[in-house]
Amino acid sequence: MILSQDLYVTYRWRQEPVLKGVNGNFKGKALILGPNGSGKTTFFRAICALTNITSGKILIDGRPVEDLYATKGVLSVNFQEVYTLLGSNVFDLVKLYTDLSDGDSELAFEMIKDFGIDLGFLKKRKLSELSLGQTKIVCTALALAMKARHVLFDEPFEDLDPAKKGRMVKHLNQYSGVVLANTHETWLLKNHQNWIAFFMFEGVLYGPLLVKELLNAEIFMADEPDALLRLKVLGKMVSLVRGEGRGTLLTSLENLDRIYELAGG
Amino acid sequence: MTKYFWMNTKLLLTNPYILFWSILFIEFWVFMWAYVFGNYILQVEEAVRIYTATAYGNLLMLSLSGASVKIAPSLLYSSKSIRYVTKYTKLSPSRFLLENLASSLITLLAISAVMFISVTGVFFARFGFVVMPVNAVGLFISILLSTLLIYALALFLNFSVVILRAPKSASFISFLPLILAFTAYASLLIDFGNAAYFSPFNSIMSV
Repeated sequence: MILSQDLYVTYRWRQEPVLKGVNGNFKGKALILGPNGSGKTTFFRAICALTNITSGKILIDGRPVEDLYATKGVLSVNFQEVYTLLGSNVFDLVKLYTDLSDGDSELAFEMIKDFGIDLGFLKKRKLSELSLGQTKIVCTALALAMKARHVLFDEPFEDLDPAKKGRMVKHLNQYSGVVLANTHETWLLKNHQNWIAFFMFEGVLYGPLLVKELLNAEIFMADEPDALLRLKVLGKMVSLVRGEGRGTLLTSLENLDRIYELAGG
Repeated sequence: MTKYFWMNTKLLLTNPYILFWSILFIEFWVFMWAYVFGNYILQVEEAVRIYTATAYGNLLMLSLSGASVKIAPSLLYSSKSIRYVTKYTKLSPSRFLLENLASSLITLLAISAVMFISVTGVFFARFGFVVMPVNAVGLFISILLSTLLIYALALFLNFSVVILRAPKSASFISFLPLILAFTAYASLLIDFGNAAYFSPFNSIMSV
């Protein structure tokens, strides 16, 4: 279980915080939905302790992240930057990280092959020499193959073509541990109906809701008393309401960046 | 030792930059010292012994500092990864440092051995007799301390870049050991007085 308590993260002194009092309890499988720049990646970086926490706490299985050292099997993530320990080829890199975490390199290779990437190709390339989509696939496969109890997926569908996005959905759904994925894409909600959803806007986390409830949910640009969720976007109240034809269907947005157009208009 | 140690050692020992600048380029200067500069010394055994030891000490200093130019950025390149790996894999911070030190020292000692063999061989070919150390243990300790100094300097400079959040200076900073080595190399021409004692490479001449 990952627990976030009143979490604030500020990158530079006296700058506005990127995360503003994030509270959340994550167990099972959860999606964090939010537009670009809303703080989703910063939140994941804070969980991994790659970013300093200004105030508040993050606990993983009851232990503060600052106190965790040499704890294999607790957390893995698909950030490219954590897979740069050595400048070796990708094949060796997969072997290295699965060895350091007592994971399963064959699992990673199977998944990579499932996406049509040849292992011989990986023996000739460094991670920085792969395309964005290939990098995303390799890092996600590594995160899954490390067999951690908690896995964070930062924008796992970005830079993938539609067919590969479908395969990625299958792999994420098959994983048995605690999964936390963030995305700005709403088309995928129908594929994760049993997951929990949170929203993040302007550094504030809203939720949880069942993904099922969001399939017919609409965005309504007003403060609705019977809303599923009320969000603050660009200083305006936005309500997520049950679908009755009053607002814009959430899944029709495709991309949550569009919410700024709606709020701005 | 984890796979990190073995892979890092292999990567450092086969690094083209290190192979070229620390070995091939310095080999050129080994020949220069033997066949060009060597013409200007007294052709007596004692003078050749001192000259050979001076050549080895100074060329080794340039060779190892050339290697550190590659070792320091490799740590900077992986600095974000180190944070994650030492928290969420079996590689603890102390174990990482130990394995990184061990693989770096193996590389630097391998370079020292190659330089020793080539200086001994080339100078034998030039002067007609083998110059061996009078104190082999002392020479080994001296080389070990020199490699430790180079590693510690590379590590310190790399961490300075991270702590000071000055990635733009990374390239310049990585060359600092080499700049310092060339400054110390200038002691062949300039009298630095007691400052000469700061370089452990100078003790190689006496052993």
